[in-house]
Amino acid sequence: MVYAIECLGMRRETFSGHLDMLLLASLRAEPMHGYAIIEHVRQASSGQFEYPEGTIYPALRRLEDDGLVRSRWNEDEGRRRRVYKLTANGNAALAAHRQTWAKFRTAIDAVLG
Amino acid sequence: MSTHGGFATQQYLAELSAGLVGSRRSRKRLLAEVRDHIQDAIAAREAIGIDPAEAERQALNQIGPVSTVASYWGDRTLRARKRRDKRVALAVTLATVTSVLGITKAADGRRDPAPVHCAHAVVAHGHCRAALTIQGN
Repeated sequence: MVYAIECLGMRRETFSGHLDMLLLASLRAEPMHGYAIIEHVRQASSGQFEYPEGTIYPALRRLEDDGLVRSRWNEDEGRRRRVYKLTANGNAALAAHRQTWAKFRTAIDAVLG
Repeated sequence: MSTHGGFATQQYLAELSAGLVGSRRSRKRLLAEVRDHIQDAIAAREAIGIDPAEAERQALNQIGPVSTVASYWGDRTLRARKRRDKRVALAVTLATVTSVLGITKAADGRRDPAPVHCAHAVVAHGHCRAALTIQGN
């Protein structure tokens, strides 16, 4: 099943919260540019998420406004790309997201049985 | 067509540019990142043998409607502006409070030139020379 996050009528704040978690988690291992982040999410989730890819750039900028990621232009194979890196605050935010998600999953599992 | 994208990409970027709010520098950076993304997406599809025109169509479909991207960008820009305005308001409030406290302290110093208090006022306002002289006498 493919979850078309934005199109299912999910509230924008909820969508943004999930997207933030996916972006921060993708950057945990190494700095990446936007397209590489999208590819990482696609591969890691076996293509289970579908959303307008252009929305990750406002999201990344929002995370940067909050000091959770840092970015800079990087020359890669003759092409200039904006590369994002997780900050210490970003790591802490990711840990908080993980904790919240674990509680949510545990509660759902308990009800599902 | 090259992996830089064709007419449809240029048209998409032009429409997106027209729909963006915020500073010129900020918008320029977003457009550059979206353009890079489209180019990468086209290149990845062409690399597995997809026809260039079809690769471009799929890449633009994946990036999402101009109105959606512009709307998310608008949300982010509004949030950043609100945060900046809040910081400015806080700075103005602090400056006002500091200034009012300074004036009050100065006024107190003129009314009641007690030598002990004036030791601080000398540094801050420079108007307690007389009080210090009295203390010295």
